[in-house]
Amino acid sequence: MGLLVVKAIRIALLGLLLFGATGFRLHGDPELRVSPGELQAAFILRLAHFVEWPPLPEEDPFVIILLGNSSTEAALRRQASGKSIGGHPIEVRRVDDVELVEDASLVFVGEDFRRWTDTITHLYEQRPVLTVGENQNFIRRGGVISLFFEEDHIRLAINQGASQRAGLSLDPQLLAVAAEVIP
Amino acid sequence: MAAFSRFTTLCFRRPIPRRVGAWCLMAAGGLVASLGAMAPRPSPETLGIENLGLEDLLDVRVESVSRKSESLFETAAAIGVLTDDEIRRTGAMVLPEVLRYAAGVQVSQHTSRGWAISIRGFNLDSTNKLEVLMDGRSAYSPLFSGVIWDGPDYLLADLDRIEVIRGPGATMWGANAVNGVINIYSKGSEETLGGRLETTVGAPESFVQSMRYGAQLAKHTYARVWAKYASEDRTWFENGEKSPYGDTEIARVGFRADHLPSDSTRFVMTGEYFTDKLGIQHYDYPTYEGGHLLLRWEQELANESSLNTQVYYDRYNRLYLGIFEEQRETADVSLRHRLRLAGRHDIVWGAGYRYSWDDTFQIAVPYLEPASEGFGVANFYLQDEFSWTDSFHLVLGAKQEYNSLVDRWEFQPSARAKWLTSPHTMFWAAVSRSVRTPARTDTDLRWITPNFAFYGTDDYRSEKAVSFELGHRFRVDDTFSAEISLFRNLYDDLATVESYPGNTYRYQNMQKGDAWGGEFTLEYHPVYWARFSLNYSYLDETFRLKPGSNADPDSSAAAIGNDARHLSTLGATLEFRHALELSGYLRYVDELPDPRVPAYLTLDLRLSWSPRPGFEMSLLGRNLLDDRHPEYRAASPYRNEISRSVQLQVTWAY
Repeated sequence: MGLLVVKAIRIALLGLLLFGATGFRLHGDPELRVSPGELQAAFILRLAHFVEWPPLPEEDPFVIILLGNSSTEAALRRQASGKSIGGHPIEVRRVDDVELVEDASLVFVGEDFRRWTDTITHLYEQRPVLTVGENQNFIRRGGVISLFFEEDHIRLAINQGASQRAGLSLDPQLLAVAAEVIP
Repeated sequence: MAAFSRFTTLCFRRPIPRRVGAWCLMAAGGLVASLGAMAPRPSPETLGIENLGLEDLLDVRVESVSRKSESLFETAAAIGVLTDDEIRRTGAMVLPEVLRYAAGVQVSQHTSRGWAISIRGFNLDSTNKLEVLMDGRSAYSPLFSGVIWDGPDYLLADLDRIEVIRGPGATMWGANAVNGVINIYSKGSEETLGGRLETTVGAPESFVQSMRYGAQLAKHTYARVWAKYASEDRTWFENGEKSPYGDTEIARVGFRADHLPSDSTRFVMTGEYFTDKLGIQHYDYPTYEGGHLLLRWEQELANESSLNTQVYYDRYNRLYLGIFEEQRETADVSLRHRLRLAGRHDIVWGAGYRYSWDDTFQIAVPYLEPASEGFGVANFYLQDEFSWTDSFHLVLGAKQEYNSLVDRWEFQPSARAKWLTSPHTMFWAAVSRSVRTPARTDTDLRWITPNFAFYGTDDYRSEKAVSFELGHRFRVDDTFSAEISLFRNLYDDLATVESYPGNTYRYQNMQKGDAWGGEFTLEYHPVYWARFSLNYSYLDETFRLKPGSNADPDSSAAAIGNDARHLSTLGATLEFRHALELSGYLRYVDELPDPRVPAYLTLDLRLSWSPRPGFEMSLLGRNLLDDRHPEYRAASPYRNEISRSVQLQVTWAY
């Protein structure tokens, strides 16, 4: 029984190899795909244009805080370089503790800070800060926006109540493309 | 072809058959052909995603190479993963203890630092049908074909994940991965920056102190150094006395460095030195000492292809208490290339060579003849995953391996099919052949006394298995997932001890076996603050002697494995405010038949509090349901028992 199985597999493997050889092209199908970190960074910068913050003093930068280690950091630093939101140049800062950052406008909670989500959303609750998390449940824990992956696409979920408490105004276009909106 | 023959004769002391040469040439051809596709991945800058609008960004596809959970769902094998969070929640301080919580893994602790661990049967002190890889380094000893579990250890907090493959992994991972593969991955040094101090104190007597410091050394280079010290004295005999061999002390230091010049390139270097004293009352010097150095280059190429190459050197000195001493050095080099062809073939091929040499020293009666030996294992494998349609894939693969200890080639093929009926359900089936190659003890062991003589044999055959498997996975996003896998394994040439005239005994392969069973796992995450898991596995094994054998059937069957019929673990984790977390595991291990060990049910509970990142305190109670219970070995006043324990752990990271 074993020997027959072995022989069959040998023949099939040879066949597949030949089939593959006849079918190959020197340049494979260049279906371009993006790393999750890059896509998240691009999405964060894009959605920031659909949120209205209370006006910042003219000189101030738009501060994005990254909590914890994430693949989004490098991508965000690169993509945000030289760009502005609402006329304020973007400044990206990485923070490794759960402490209030007074001048933050957007706080991104990396997955390795998931355990302290409640503490973080509570800290920034009534402040004009857009809290963004990496998993779908982030909005159920007081966060404003969840950015998560479903199969191989990025998706958006919004907590409207949290955005209102923060004093932020969300463009209806953002709500329209969201996979989930909770009051 | 003639030059090739001469070259291989030089390496292996015999010419390689022509068909193998053909395999090698085809693979080389494949490699050359794919050179066109060997361009590195396009950089993010060239993609211009930052200029896309909202709707377009929602349409962008993320590469699956980085999506581990996605690729796990689509794997045509019974595979389970313990994530870093799950490892932390078990409260385990040493690797074998973490494996208790993995589905389908039987862990039987027999001494303070001794565990018998197996998957789908054949549990022995040194289970020989399970391959274990620690960051790409094999922990499997060629001396007796098995893993001694006090060996592989790490700072568990710096582990990324542990993958447990139940079933034959021979095609990818080589001979001896007959019933499973345990793959342990540590985190990249760029993920473990900063300092971390962890102190664990337990009752009965145990103490573990570990520390790690990671830093960025240069623009793209990161490294960490770590150290772990553990001391414990907490094993009891069945008669109530404390075991003098339970007093153990281990010390390890290690490092890992990563150089990431680009998004798609990684160089890794790891090293370690360890010195363990097991049974200090008797041995005041290290009974297990050694270290390793490993270098690896991982390169991602265009079109979801990749190239990995690795080299490592490993050495150790081990004193097998009172029996004999072994000094071993191993050098290993391997290559693995993944490429896509014609859009429908996902091909992985690889080659490797490992040379291991030892010096053994006789202390008591048994010894090895020859006392020193060196041998090489060369392997070549090829696997093709062919997309018949988008949702139906066929995977065909084979590994060809040569072992110079027994001068033998082993062919280990496997055929798998997977059918993704929807994004939430899939089915898979597999047929594979795998082999457990002879170890030094099988061929070279001698045990001569005035009353009897025992010999290993030169013509000891490889143990063989043909496995048939079926599996099904189902999930509802992050909330619920379930999987079931079934198997039927047919074994041949299993080890026996045959008697000959004049009170002589020899190792032979006169047993056949038939095992069937399966594993079921379920994960439920109904709300963000609660998660539940359930796993159950069943194993039914029968063995029979082949005609011509004069061994005793019952003891022959018992000698190759002592396995529980049922294993089950129910786990729950609840998260409260202020980063308070409660996790518990209820574990059932059915009785071991021969030597008989009673079934047991245990409860482990862990309460952890982490007011801010960088500080965690936890209290763990283990084996709470009874005072003490045995997990292995025949009943005797001196059988070791594992007792109820409590442990307090404090972690400080900065």
